[in-house]
Amino acid sequence: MRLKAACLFLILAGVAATVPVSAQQGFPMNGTWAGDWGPNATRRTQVTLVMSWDGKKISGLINPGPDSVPIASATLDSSKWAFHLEADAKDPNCKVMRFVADGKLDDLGSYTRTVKGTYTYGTEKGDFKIKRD
Amino acid sequence: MLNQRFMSLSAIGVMLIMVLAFTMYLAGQGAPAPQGTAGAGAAPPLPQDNGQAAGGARGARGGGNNRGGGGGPAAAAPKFPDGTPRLGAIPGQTGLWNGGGGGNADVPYQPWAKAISDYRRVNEFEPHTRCKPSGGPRQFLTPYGVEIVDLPELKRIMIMDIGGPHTFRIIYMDGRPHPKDLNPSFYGHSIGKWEGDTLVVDTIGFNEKFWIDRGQAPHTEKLHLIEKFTRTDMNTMQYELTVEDPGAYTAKWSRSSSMRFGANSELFEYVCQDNNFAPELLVGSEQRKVDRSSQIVP
Repeated sequence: MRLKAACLFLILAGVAATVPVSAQQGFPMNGTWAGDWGPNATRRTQVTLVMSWDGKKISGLINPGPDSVPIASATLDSSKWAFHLEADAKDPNCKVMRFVADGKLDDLGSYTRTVKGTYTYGTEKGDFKIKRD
Repeated sequence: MLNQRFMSLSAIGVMLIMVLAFTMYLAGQGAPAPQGTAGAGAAPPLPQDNGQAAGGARGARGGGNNRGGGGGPAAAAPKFPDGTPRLGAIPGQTGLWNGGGGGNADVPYQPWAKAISDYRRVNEFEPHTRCKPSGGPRQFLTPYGVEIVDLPELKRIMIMDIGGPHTFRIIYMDGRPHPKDLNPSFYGHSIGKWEGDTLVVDTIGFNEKFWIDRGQAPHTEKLHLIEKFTRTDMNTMQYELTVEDPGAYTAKWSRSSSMRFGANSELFEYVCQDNNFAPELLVGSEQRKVDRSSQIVP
């Protein structure tokens, strides 16, 4: 019996030791985020976002580099930690279409917090997940 | 059946104890205490009447007598021969400052900053508790106090603390401006000047990796602090703080408080080790002997 209790204690101690401890810092969306988006589980596209808060609005780039797309608008509703992003991006036929994403900011206290949500891009719909680097 | 019930109850009990112990552990992490002291980081922001930072053991070497001479009226604020106020200890003596907190009433938060402030009140996992430096007014809320070192010959004033990592900030008094394109840092870049007997310190260039107080006030890299230090007598310093951060607040806001001087106390060697979750893996620990014949491994 004592052995069982000791084992149980050790198991629980191990669980407690893995509780994430982290500290919230600054404006939650600031920084570089990486993840993917796509219409289903097999068709995914890697994405990198760099976002910056100037005190009034969020600005930034999607996939910084030669083919980067500026963020047209992005907001964070801190009452629900709801994130909204819009950008005008070219499709494979060079047709500009609006990309609209809505997600929920999770794990606020973690430096590597995440946003998960859904998007529309022209007629395409899908989901996305990004994690702060 | 009885055995199973006992096991279930035991499991629940152990779980509750673990959660309670873990919560208490985190609550006591205002700064990890050195060996031999306990709960050192739980100090509330304002000093007690005896002038020592409240909230548990301060370490035998970090204490001090703030009465400044047997409970009588405190001596006048010390000055240099040229009349410049002296904010640190006088020659031949030691002393530390404690306090400098104060509530944040009527803070003009932006919505996100208010939400973060509320979040931090519940989730008090402050970077300071993970050995990050504590910039701005948070420096004065670290355990064990801070030492102010006047260096008129260098036209600098240094403020040292050991509650987090053993570190310091420099206040440049030589009239230089803030550099352009500062690399954001925990302490930022401070320049100071005397306005009568008040030291006015202007600081910018902060990073966002710390909290400027115990959690109620988020900030961004746009943070600009004005701190005013007025030593009103040997044992008392009035501290006025003005916070300007258009990234987090809709307007400037201020607060004031006082610090108490603890004479006959001084900083001591103290190591705060970031991410030290596995001390048993440290080189040379009892669990892991090191072959010291190697010329590479110390």
